[in-house]
Amino acid sequence: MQSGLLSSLIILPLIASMVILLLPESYKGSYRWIALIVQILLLINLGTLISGFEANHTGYQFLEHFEWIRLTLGKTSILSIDYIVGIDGLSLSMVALSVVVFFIANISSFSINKKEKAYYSLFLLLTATVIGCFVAIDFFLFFIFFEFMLLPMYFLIGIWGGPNKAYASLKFIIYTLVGSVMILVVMIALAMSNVDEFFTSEYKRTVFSFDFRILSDQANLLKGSLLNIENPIKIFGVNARDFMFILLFIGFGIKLPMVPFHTWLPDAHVEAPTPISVVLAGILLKIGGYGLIRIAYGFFPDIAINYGLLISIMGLISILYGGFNALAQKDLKKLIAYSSISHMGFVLLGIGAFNIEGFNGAIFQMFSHGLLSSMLFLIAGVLYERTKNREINNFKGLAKTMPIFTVLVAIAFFGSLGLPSLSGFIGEFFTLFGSFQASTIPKVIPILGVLGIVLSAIYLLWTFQKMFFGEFWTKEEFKNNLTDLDQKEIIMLGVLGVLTLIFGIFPNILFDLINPTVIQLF
Amino acid sequence: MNPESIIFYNLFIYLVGFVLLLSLNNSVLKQLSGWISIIISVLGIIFSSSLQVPSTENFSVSYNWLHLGDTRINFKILIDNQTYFMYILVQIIAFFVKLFSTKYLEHDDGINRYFAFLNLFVFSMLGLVLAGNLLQLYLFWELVGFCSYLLIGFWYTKKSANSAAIKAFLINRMGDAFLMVGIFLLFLIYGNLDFDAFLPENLDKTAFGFPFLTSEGLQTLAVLMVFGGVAAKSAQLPLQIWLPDAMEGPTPASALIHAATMVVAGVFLLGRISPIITPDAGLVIALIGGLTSVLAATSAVFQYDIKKVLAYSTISQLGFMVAGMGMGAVGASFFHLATHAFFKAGLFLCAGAVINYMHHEQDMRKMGNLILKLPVIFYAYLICAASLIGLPFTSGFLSKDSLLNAAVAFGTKDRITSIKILVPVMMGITSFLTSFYMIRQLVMVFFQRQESPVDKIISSTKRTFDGAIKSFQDILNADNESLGEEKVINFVRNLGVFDVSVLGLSICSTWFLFSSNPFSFEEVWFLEVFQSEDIHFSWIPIAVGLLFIVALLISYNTTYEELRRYYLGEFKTGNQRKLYRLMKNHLYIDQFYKTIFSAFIKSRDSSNMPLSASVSNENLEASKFEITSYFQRVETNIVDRLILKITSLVLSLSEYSSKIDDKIVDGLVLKISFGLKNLGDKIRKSQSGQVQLYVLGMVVLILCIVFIKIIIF
Repeated sequence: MQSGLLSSLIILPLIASMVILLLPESYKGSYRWIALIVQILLLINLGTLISGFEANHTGYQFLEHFEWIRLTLGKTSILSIDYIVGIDGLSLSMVALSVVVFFIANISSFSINKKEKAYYSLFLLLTATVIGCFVAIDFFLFFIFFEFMLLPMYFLIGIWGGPNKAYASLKFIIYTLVGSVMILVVMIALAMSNVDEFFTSEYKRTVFSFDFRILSDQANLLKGSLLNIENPIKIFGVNARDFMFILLFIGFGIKLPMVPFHTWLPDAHVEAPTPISVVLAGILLKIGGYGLIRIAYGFFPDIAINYGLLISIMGLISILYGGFNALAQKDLKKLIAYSSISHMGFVLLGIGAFNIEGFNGAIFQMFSHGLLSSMLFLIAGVLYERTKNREINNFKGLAKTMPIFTVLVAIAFFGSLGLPSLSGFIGEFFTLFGSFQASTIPKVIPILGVLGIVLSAIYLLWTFQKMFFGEFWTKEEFKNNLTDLDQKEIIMLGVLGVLTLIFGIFPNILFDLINPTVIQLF
Repeated sequence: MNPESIIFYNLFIYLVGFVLLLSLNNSVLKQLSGWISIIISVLGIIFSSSLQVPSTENFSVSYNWLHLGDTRINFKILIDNQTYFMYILVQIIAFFVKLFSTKYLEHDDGINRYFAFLNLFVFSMLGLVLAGNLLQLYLFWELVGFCSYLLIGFWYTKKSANSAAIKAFLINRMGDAFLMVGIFLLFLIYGNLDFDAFLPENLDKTAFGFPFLTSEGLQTLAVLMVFGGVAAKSAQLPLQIWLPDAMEGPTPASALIHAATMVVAGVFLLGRISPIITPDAGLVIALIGGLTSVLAATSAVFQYDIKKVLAYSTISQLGFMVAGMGMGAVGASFFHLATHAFFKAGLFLCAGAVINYMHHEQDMRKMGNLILKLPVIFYAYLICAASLIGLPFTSGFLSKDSLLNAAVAFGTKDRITSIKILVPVMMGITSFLTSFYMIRQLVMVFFQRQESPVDKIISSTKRTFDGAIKSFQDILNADNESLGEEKVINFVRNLGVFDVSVLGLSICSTWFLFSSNPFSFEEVWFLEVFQSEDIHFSWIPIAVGLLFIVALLISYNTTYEELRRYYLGEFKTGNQRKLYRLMKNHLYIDQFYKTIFSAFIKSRDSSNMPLSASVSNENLEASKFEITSYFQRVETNIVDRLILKITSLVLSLSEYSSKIDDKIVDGLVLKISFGLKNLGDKIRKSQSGQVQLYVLGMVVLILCIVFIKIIIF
């Protein structure tokens, strides 16, 4: 299916970004609408994508393949880098999530009134790179998108952020770059060890490829190469394949974020403007999980299995550590940031299980967390926009003055704490379920993981009670600003709330998409 | 209509009721919301009565819900006798409660919210009883807990209500965590979560991960984990502490949720998994149930809050049912569940009417004489209380008899010295205590006494039995007055909403709904559908009757004595007082949890702690040793500081390198460039314009190049 549909998902926002950049300042008012129209077009494209997607078809669909770089290395080999995009169930779910979240974040961006030209062109650039990251099936292409994402993100936090934005954006970029370097090392090692048999016979030279499909098939490993299986080569006393897997694990773990590589996240969130927080928590973290499943597990399945226990323990630590830290927070946004760490820990737990239930649960959890954390950050944004304050203790009894807001907050909070019939429950349940059914993992890990859902109930309910119940009270200067939601906010939170409810009640909508892909992984 | 669509419509109307009522914001329509939801309830009852009673074959239908790999979990509706009874029961009680609530909350601004939550609750509860597998049950299990949270915290501006709501939810969450582990374990050993798949032949003997347990031991563990969830929902030891606090919610909601239906969900679940309850697990469950019932009944004796007495009584009766399930007496336990639902809901509604009459005064010592002021409520109360005590002609007599019968059979099956004997003993003690606290409450709330001046109280408490006789005479008089035809019509006409709903429930608490013979549970149609024990101890009802008489005598006296002391301002001293406090505070179990809990979350802000309300803001600074702040300190002091260290290391490294860059590399470059400049200057000097020199230079250069070429190649 060479429809160009996937490329359009990347190219449309890129073009729009250029257009906004070229439009003179006198068209200032139109930037947001151009961006919004592009997001709507993406939604329509996503619709066609989903309707054309055959869930039971294994392998990648909507493939687009163009030759890009053929680098001749000496006389005997060629390095082939191609532009290949395609999707399977895993990437489709992530693409769908990104398109929806970017749409919501775009609406939320309407409240940004500073340097709009730069903002919207960077925002659209971010859209293109994130979607590109999920659809790329060439490691080199993936890596370009992965790296390029940092540029808009850096500026979006660094220019439109809060008081401490310089520190936060720098911390963010340094952390992520360290991760990228590790991934880069693995990418080069992988490409230099895998041979594209088909082109090798065609060109009569060894063709090294970055194609995901080639990298994930161990039959393509070159004998005697760095990453061969039969004859392990040691790096610092560790088998090369193990070494590479750990590099990937840390690299994507930083992105996820996994304790102890998580400290960039609370800072970045607290400083970032609301729509960027939404994108960051809603989608960017998911790239970590996506990378772990697609790349770390996909290319090193033999190694990954041995590290199931390690991954699960790291997941458990993230769950509990994030939860306890969330309990201690006074700033609403920081609390949500730590709860994100805790919830992404479930993703790790599910991945560590290395079984179908666990992977499905992990992917579902990523999707659900994308919806719920977006909602939570929008909620923090609603308060911040009205009062320029996010201290939990500064608000009491909001239910009286903001009833609609309270209902939507209740959906988000109860969704996050895993109330059945909202999507958070399904993700958490099946990651724990998978972990429990896995033979490689001691039962004590999922049992302790269950504590995570108790913890999240404590910090979320407590916050809910403190901010929304009791007699209405807030600082004098905020009193007149605390009006109930406007239409824009109702749409944003309402859409996400309804999606949470739908996926919570009919989880099969998503499971049917990802299940064949996951089965194929094993 | 086929059962599927009946159930679908039935559930759907409650959901519609929820959404519709929640979205009302017109004040006129809000007042109608009570009647709207009553119509919904009536429709629901009509729907469900058209459902066929399953005789032998269970009805089940399943829809594809989710499948992951080989794991398939279907959305399954299962209707057997157990489901059917609960299905009807919930809706009938919901109907009475809604009727009662229309008046109880008529002036409340959030009345539409209240009825919306009630409808959501009925929806979830029906979903729970229909669930055909554990995951589905878990889903609705949490939803009913959520509704309970919403209704306890219904008056959300009231701080105590909020704390109670959050406490109820959190303790249920802990229970749910156990239940979730139980679900995982059951899936591990049965490979399926459907209730009808929990059969011995599906048992996977190769289940892994628990090296120290046999397959039977694993099953016991799984059942006990599930029981952890039951203990939270049905308020059993050690997770029972939320239920007394849950009385902060509106009284009719307490009647529906925290007395009649939601709290018995745990018993219902035990009934569902009863085929796989191993003897070991059963014994533990029975013992916990028995112990809970004794403890709670003891605490009930020492309460002054009219609703708290009923709350502890509920815990105690739930202990009965749980013990019954543990003994394997599914039918008897379930029968008691049904009768208890009616009479306890009736008692709660009576209490609600009293509280309403007393302008939200809940202290029983400040009541009294209500026998004349609320006669209808009194009669209803009397019937329901008799049913709770287990007097003849009531439904409670039958169910309690059957349950005690099963307990004695269970306790005496093995040697008399086995630990099993404790269960019937504890249940017997509970029966006695039940009579005791019900009579105490009856006396305190309804019976006559002259409260002031003090000496008259003393004189009235002296002639205790005279007081009793006089009270009963008053009843008779009140009865006689309304016996004339006009009076009857007047009486009926004057019946309020309260009276109708309370009378309805008390009528349901009499025997004829369940059996044709008021003296023997063996003729109860209810028990015919469940398998039951053959042994019948005929001495049990007599023993219960004797216990009742003893309790009556003691309780009547001590209650008047207690009241006298109260009005005189006398207080107990020494050990007696300590004991008294211990009992009133339910062995300080609550305080114990509070201490543990505050260890976790005092750090953020002490003023709004969910579990302990009385900690002042000043403790904020002192709370440096709590666990969360510990984690926070780990975060800032270790993790972040490490990163900072690394960063500063990198920074200083880069500073060095920049120095190197400046001084050495750049210096070198500068040197070279200066050198070049000097060279250029020299060369410039050499460019004097003399052609010969140029030619000479070129020749030298060419020679040099040629020379180099020769050397290299």
